[in-house]
Amino acid sequence: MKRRKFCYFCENRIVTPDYKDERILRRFVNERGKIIPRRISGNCAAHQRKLTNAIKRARIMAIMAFESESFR
Amino acid sequence: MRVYETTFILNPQTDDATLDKQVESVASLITSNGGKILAENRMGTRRLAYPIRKLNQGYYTTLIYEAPPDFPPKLDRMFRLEEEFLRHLTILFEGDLKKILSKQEQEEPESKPKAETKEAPAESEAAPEKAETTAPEPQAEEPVKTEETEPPAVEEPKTETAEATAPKEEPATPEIEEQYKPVDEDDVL
Repeated sequence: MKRRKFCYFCENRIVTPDYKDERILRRFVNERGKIIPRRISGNCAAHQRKLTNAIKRARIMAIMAFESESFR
Repeated sequence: MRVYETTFILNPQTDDATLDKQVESVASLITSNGGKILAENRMGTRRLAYPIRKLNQGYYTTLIYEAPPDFPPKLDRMFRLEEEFLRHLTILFEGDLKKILSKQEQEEPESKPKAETKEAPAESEAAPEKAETTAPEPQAEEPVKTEETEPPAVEEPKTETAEATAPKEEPATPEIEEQYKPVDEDDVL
């Protein structure tokens, strides 16, 4: 049942997640706009750190919401 | 000189000519401070995730450029003084410069799909032919100094990247969504 999760960015050979790419970032955020923790998303530590950074940048640039009732 | 990436948001309700002028003013500030613009990407008008100054849409532009390290503070000051910029963000460019530069040239003379189809059949055939077909292309496509040393060695990495980038863009995403949808549901429950 339990499938071994693997880091999305390692799998797709993305070195640094782009803060402008909403399509990818949206995957790592829940309906409320919260960043999904590593233990659930399965990302590696290095990429999770970069991803967090990218999401926060995206929020500043109004590409992603800081908070929302029904995101997506 | 360092490579920076600056994105800024303009008010989309202003007319196109003024928007052009405003983007130009940023570009000219870069060049007048000893910088060099490497790429310009106008994402155009898109929805803001939350209203800024009572606007729901913004006109996004990204500039990738080389500039001396004392330049970003100057740019930041300009952004703050001018009213028309809703948001701005300058970061050190971390992406793949070659990709950006080649992408820009794609838009102009040659398209990448063409290059791919040329490379794919050549690969299955004789090796000397491959060298002939692939070698002139990167030189013509990329007039960048860093590329010059590579062409002979390019054969393998070039085809790899071409194959890797093509499926990465779209076919990869639905698969991943399958992976992550259940995760989200778990999270909700």
